[in-house]
Amino acid sequence: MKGCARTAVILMVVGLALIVWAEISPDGAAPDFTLPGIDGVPHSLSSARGKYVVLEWFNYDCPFVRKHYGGGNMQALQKKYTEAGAVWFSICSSAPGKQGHYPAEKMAELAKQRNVASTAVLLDPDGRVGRLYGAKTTPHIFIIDPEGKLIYQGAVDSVPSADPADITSAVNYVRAALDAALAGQPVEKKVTAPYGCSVKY
Amino acid sequence: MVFCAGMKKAGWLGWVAIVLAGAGTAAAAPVRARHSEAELTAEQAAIRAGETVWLALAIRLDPGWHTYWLNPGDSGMAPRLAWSLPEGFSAGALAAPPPARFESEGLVSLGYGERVVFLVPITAPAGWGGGPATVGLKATWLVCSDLCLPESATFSLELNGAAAAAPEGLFAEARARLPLPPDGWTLRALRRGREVHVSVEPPAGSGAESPMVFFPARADEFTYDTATVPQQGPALRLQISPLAETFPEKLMGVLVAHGTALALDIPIETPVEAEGVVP
Repeated sequence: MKGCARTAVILMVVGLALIVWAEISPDGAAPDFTLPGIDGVPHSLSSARGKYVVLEWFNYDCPFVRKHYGGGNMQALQKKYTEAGAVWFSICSSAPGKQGHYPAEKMAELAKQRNVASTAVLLDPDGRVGRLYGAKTTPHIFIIDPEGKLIYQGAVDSVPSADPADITSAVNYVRAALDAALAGQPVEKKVTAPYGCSVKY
Repeated sequence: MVFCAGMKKAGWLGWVAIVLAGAGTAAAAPVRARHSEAELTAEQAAIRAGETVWLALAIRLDPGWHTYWLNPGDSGMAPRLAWSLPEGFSAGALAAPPPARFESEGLVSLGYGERVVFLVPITAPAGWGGGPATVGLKATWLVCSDLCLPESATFSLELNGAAAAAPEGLFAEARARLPLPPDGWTLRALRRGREVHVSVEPPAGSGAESPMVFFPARADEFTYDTATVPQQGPALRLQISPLAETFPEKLMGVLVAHGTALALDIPIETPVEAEGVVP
């Protein structure tokens, strides 16, 4: 029994240690993860190996996320690059009881209302994957190349505001990074400062 | 108590000043937003060709809410100002007092609770003909508690109108909080591997030694576990952020040491033995 209790404690400690806060260096390896989707299916990064992958942290109740969803800016990006062969995972790391957290069915309804065009909408209520990537804000974007290397992390665009009117005058970093990468060119800006609400871990 | 005594002494004269400030046009009326209130005030009611007048943007936060510094930290948004000025007029950069650090779930925000006063200079062109000058401002600032909401206010302030002067003390107090140039201080920033070591020597007669803290002007240069956290002197160790693509060449931000806030923009020196080290 004693040994069993000790094992349990060790497992608990290991379990806690797995919840790590990380920041990944530019060109660093993107850690693998598996998360449940609102479609009821688990999705993993490794299953998308060989393709460009976009990770987009969101919280539909955050004004900065609304800025990009309200006029369809985010959905247009999702549509354009999934059609170009990329995999786009929209991830919500809001903890239960915090802003932006919804059960899978409700989230599916909200995503449908918004005409979300991602490959999958994933739920990370314990924040494990958010912390693994160092996702700080909603929105916060990470782009991974077909070899599993991070080629971009940061903001959607260059104007840190919650005003949709600023979208047209901003430089869209996601488009810049993916267009360059898909054309076989190096990504010019690999890190930008994300802006928005804090992720509600 | 000191404040109360002061108010009593000011008596009716104080009240007259307050009423005048409200009636004049050099202070736009406070604008109530959802979780904060903002007010724009000019230091002087008049401006002439080639002159600069300072404006104060004061934001008062509801209890439990905070707004952001120029580098908001891990999340948030710096205040945004959109000016509508008479032709040839220009607005300078926003001057901000050093921020406080707010931490939640491992994320660090830099900003202000309760109240903050930002200052900004407006300059009239040299050949300006004079007359009434209307300064328009749309200010947008983010407030967060558990939630974040963008707040905004539109102000119109008339200079050279029949206006009263700004309330006494507002600008003096706001200016006293702004970071100073480090004149008389001996400061050196040295590169040490993935760290920058900052040695700080105050001028004679400075306040007592107290923990020092550095607030970086730019995101993703230093880790917020080292920058923004008070450290015991006489030197400060700042760790380069894993997100920094290149080693910063300059140390830019606000250093608070010996009770003084200093605006730093100094080169980061590479000691000879560290040359060629790839960050």
